[in-house]
Amino acid sequence: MAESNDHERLLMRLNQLRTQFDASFADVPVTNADAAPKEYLTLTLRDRSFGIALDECRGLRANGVIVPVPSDVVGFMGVAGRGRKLVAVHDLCWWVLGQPRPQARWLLLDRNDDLAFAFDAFEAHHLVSKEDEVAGVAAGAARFLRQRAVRLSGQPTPIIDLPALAATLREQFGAAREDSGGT
Amino acid sequence: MGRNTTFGRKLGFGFAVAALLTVVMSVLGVQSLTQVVSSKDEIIDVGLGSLLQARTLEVHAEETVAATRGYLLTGQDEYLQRHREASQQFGATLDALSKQLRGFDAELEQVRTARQAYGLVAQELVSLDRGAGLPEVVAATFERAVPKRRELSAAVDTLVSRVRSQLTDRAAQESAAARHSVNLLIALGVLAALVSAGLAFALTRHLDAQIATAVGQVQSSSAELQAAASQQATGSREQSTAMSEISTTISELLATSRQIESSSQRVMEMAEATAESARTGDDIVISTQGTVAAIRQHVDNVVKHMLDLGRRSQQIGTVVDIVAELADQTNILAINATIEASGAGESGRRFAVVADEIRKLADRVSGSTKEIRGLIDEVRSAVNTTVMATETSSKAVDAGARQFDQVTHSFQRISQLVETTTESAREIHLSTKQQATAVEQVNVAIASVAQASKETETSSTQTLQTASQLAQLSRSLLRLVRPQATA
Repeated sequence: MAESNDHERLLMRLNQLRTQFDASFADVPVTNADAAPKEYLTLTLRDRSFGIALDECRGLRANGVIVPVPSDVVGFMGVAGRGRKLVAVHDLCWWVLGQPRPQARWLLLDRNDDLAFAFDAFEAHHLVSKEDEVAGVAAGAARFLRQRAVRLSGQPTPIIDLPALAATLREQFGAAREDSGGT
Repeated sequence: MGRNTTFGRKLGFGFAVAALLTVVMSVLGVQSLTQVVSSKDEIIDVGLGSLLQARTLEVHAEETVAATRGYLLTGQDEYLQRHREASQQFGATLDALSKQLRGFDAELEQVRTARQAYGLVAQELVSLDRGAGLPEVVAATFERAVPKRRELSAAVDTLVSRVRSQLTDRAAQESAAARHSVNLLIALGVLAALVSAGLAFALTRHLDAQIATAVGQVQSSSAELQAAASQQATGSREQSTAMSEISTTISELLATSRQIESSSQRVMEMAEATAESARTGDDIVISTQGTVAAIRQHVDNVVKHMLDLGRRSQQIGTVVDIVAELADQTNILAINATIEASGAGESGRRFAVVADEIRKLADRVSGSTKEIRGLIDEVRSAVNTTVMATETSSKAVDAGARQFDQVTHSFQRISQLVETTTESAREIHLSTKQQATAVEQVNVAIASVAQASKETETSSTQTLQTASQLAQLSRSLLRLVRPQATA
């Protein structure tokens, strides 16, 4: 009896998928930016979920090849290829939680396409409406988080302020370059 | 005669001596008698015969004379024939006498001469002429024949007398010899009697002593025999009593043996029934073992199929993972496309729509793959659970099969032990049967021994009586030999 119910449910699911796919071609795209849902990506940093606004990213890559480069910059993992250029890869877990994660291989490209952040795992892509923005949640010692969180997958999820983190890194590298004589 | 000489030899020696003397006496007596008889016979045969023949000679001579006289008187030839015959007979008789007699040559010659003379005279007388007349004949006869006849008669008488005299002498001699022989026999008889008496006395005394000694030994032996017989009688009585008790005990033992035999028979039957049941159970165990093996094989097949199902589900999971990876990659591409589209401005809006749909599709695929993964995980969990349960069941089946093998082994062992027990019961039954048979034989033997004991007791009693009689006889014999001996 339970097996027949599961089978009917799967059939209904299949029909629903087909219907949704077919109906998606008839959906009118949302043009109002304010009414359009905002897209977020959820990722995992040391078994904790964090969100990042999609429009603050340039790209997402899995199993990126990170070439280690000796450096005295803490959190700097190396360089990775992006098209025809190299980008610096930083440890997102180190910068957000203060804990290194050298085995992270997901890469999140900055909007300016000059920095990449490595993290543990990509969870999902979410379309979030305005109503899902909630007050910020206590993140402990985490840094570079926005003040407001977003309810993703039913759970309030802290959102990483990626532009702020990138600006901080640029200022730090810029200061370091000037200190080293621009080499 | 030494001490080693037996009583019989001694007695035999005595009797031999007596017999020898008797034989000697007999021989001598026989010889004497024979001699006497022969002498007497000789006297009778020869002497009297000679005398008779001599008297016959006289008769013949008288017949000759008478015949001559008759012829002379009558002139008949008959008398002449008679004369001749008488003369011949006289001659024959004289010849016979000459052969018989010894030492009478002179007398015989005298008779012969006289006869010849008379014969000549008679011949002359006979040849006289008959014409001469009778008186002449008579005168011639008186003148010539009568003297010759007288001479012949005298010669014959002389011969007869001599023969008679000789006969008488011979008879006297033989009588003297007979008396001598009688005296000799008497002497020998006396001597034999004395010797026999002495020998008998010596033997009697010697044998008396030996007999007394032997009788004494017999008496003592008979006393010992009497004592031994008494002991034997007592022992036989006790043995007979003991044998009766043993016979009773053996009878009880026989009854017990029969009961044991009966019990062993029942045990053997029960053991055989048990062995039969064990064999039947063994067959059932063997068939069940096959069933268990089939169950194990079936369970192994189920496990194998479940493991195969697990591998298939794992393969499905891998495929789903691939699909999920594709969905994720698609999602990432869609995200990147959205990002690129958002950066492309207005011209990227349609592409953003497509990218968004692709992203949605990727989400749906990802959701479905998650759901599929969930189902696969459930299937794999169920498979694992089933495999574990099956393995548990398999292990349980294996354990059960091992236990069943142990049970089978134990049952076979029990079956073997039952067979051994049955065989042992059979041997016990046979042994008890043999034992009962042996006890029966022992009972029969004991009965025979008891009977023999009774007979021995009876024999011992008789022996005791015989010993007592022997003792009594020995005392009697001792008293016969030595009257002064006491009992």
